Amino acid sequence: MGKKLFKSVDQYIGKLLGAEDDALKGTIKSMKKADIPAISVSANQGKFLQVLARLCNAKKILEIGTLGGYSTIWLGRALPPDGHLLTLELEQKHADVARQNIIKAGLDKLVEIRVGKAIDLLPALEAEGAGPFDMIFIDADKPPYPEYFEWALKLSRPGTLIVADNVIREGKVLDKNTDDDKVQGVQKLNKILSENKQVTATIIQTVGTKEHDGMAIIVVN
Amino acid sequence: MSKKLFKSVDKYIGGLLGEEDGALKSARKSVKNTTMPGANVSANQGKFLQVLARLNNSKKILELGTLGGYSTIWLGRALPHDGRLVTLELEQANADIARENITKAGLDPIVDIRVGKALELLPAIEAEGIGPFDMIFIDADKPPYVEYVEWAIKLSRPGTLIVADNVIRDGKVLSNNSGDEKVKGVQRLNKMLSENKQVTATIIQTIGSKEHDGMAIAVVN
Repeated sequence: MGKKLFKSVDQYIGKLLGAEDDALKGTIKSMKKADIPAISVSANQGKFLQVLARLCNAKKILEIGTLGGYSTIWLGRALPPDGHLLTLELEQKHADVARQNIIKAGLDKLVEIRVGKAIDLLPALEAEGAGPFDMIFIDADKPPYPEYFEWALKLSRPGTLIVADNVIREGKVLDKNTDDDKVQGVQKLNKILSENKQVTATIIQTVGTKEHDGMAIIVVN
Repeated sequence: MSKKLFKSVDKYIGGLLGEEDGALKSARKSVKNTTMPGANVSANQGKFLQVLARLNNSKKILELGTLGGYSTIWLGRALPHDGRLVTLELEQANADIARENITKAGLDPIVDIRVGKALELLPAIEAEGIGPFDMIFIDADKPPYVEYVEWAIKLSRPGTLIVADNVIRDGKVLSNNSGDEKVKGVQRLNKMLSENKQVTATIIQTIGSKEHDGMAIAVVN
């Protein structure tokens, strides 16, 4: 059991069940070219998100953190032709690259990218009556994870799936005295999940091509 | 990144989100007295199954491999009062232990344990017309895993979730010349999932308190 084995198994799974088409491969390439950090979900994680979206029969998805649009494409492909995916991105440059990738994937009719601070964009979504969403994927800056989660709850209905990525951080969440504000952000979220009676939740540890981490999987009661 | 860390993180997650009540604790302890001590899912895996069951709003669940009823209880608690869980167990002795645990958990009105070879019980379930099931959890002997999933598909509807446990086996699935019947059984399944157009599937690697392994998660199209 080691990093190398996890990577090899990830490749085995990917070959069988996580094949990327040109649009997905091109997304990764476009991000490299534009110097966007290579912190997208892995192919198998993308497929996992897609399976989850199918499982809850998602028609309306909200994503917080578009980056280059990689997970957006996996999620968008779980939607029916009349589905809708709203994705929020802080950086205009990332959003521009993502838009091109989403067009190449043929998903521009379903996907709407909004640029700005999520914390500023979310109240507007509520005011517009954009919710409730069937699935909400949180994969953005970590310190405000508790706030993102609170907003996700506001924009949900019973049965909505909320997924929050990177909540284990190589096990750093075990450190009670950490001064890393990313770790502190997800520690707060994990604690909120355990105390909040509005949701049923778990965290799965993730290994594979990426660092050891975790995904919180949350259903609204 | 090590086994010890995965275990510690598993405990952290369990402390927050995977609490066992008295019924689950005693069910877990009683697995010692079954024919396969320690072969039950972990608490966090039980919670994960419960979250998945809630996610697709399961009302009818089929489980292959009851053992001591530990996962049965986690799954049964995802069901509404008029839900139904049919669980199949080869060994009468295990079924007796499971029945006691399920009764203690107050789930006996909705859980139906059937004793015998799954491959002989499944045609009867089809003939009775109990299906389609909303979720089917396969955690039984590995060589017939392909047959089990074929049966699961027969007893499903579009949107049914099929979960098959232990499909990575410490990475032994990477060996092309394995002589291990269990490994060969899950290798066949993983390949079948990649070729079958009736399902959308992925495999997640699982680490934590148990050995490195994996769960196949498939949604029927």
